[in-house]
Amino acid sequence: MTALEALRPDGQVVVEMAEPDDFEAWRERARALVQGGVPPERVSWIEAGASGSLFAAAGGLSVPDVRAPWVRASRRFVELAESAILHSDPHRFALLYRLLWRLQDTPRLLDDPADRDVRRIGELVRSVRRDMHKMRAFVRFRAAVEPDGCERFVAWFEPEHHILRANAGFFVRRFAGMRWSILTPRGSLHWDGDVLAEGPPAQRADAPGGDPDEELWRRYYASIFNPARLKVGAMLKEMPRKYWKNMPETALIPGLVAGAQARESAMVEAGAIEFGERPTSLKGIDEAIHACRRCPIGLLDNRAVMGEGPRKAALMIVGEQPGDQEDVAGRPFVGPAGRVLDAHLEKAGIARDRAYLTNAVKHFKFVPRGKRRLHQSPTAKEIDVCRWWLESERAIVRPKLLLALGASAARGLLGKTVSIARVRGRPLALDDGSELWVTVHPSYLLRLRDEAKGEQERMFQADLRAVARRLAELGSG
Amino acid sequence: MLLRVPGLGVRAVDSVVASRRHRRLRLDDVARLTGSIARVRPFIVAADWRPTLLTDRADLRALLAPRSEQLELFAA
Repeated sequence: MTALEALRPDGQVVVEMAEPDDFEAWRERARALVQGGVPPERVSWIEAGASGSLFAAAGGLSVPDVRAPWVRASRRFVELAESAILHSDPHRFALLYRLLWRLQDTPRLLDDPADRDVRRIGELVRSVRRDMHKMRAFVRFRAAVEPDGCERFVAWFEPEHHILRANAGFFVRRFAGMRWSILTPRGSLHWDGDVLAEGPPAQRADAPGGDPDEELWRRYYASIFNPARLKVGAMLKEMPRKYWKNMPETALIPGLVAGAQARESAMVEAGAIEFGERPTSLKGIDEAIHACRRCPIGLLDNRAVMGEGPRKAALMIVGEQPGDQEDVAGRPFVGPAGRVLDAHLEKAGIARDRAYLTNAVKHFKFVPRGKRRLHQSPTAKEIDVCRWWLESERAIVRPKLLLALGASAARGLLGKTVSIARVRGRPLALDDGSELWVTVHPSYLLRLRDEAKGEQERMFQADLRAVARRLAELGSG
Repeated sequence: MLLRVPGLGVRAVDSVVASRRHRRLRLDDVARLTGSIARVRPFIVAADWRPTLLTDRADLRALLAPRSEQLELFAA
């Protein structure tokens, strides 16, 4: 028997549901009561076990009048009721009966979203659906060994509503090949590979306390935790605290959340481009930059061009990047711009072979156009990546004076973009005590014509002379 | 027009329109469909509600608009 019915002396019909989630039993009783013309106010629905002595004088089931009109309910109501009956709210049977009763007069009742009962059933259905979803996500199985030596996976779960039976199909399909049990305070399910059996309510102590694989799972969980994307509110919304106590990984969460800030700032620090151990010789850098693929330029069809000059040069001249001819020759400043630079250096009295010449970016960046390779300026990000190599060279050569040709070289040395017009003609102090002078790149002079060219050449020459003077001062001092 | 009422969003308006097919709404019906009935009240007429003097109050905005709040300048 799935439902009991009793007529109390005051005319109240009391229905006791044997199973809290048995929709068919409720449907059968409700149908009979509607046909019997019993209004919702006169029906009390109770769950089994709520009260013991009520049925001492049980009256038996009311038999519907065969001449009574057929009970009508929309398909939508049946679907909602099937789901809402799983809710743990003790008033759910009464709510459903009240709705069914009202549906007889108002068949379109469910289309009225402002109705109190319609809203309530919607809330129940949503809550049940969420609980079912959370059960699918948060059941954690632990391996246990059966008396016959086989492995059985046992999980302890505390659902909020009567969803165990409704969710059984999911677990049977999902874990068809394994033997498993899900224990809950309201009942248990046991799957042996072929047959699903129901068991009595269980306790937490009935499930195994842990298993060796859990450590692995915890380590996995900790490693996929991204401290930079910490959103505690969103996490708690998707993984409410009430489910935490039965999930092994949740013990890690407070520690992970607390350490997130420190880990994130450590990641930001490390993000300042750090490639590990710096090479200790120019030869080491030369070999390393040939293998460098840390920015897209390194992936083009080109080769790295190492700086050249005396290892203890007092002056380091930094250009932008190798050009087409430099890439072919494998030496810096041998193309058209290099020749312009040579001419001006000679005029200013700086010996090229006593200076160390290099580039802010070690590879030639270009776009192919037919047979030609057209120069492209490196991006700030690419310069910043290559800065590592430039700094390694500076650490070895230790020049007293640096001359940056163009904005890219200045960025490679300063780490930020500066305006050449604003900083040229005067020394800038660098962290290691050396001086930086900034001027234009000689290729800029190549692009100019007539008066502007003459003017810029004079300024370039003036910058070089200033550097030569300063170099002489430093050399004598 | 309903969408122009402060406090009624798209979902609430859809629900109001659907419910009106069945009956005249009362104030507590509307309250069930909206987040805050206090914000909506001065601008609607329901079966059991008429905002007689409320709509013309000079401080209506002060009553309904969210209070501005000075945020902490030197929070850690």
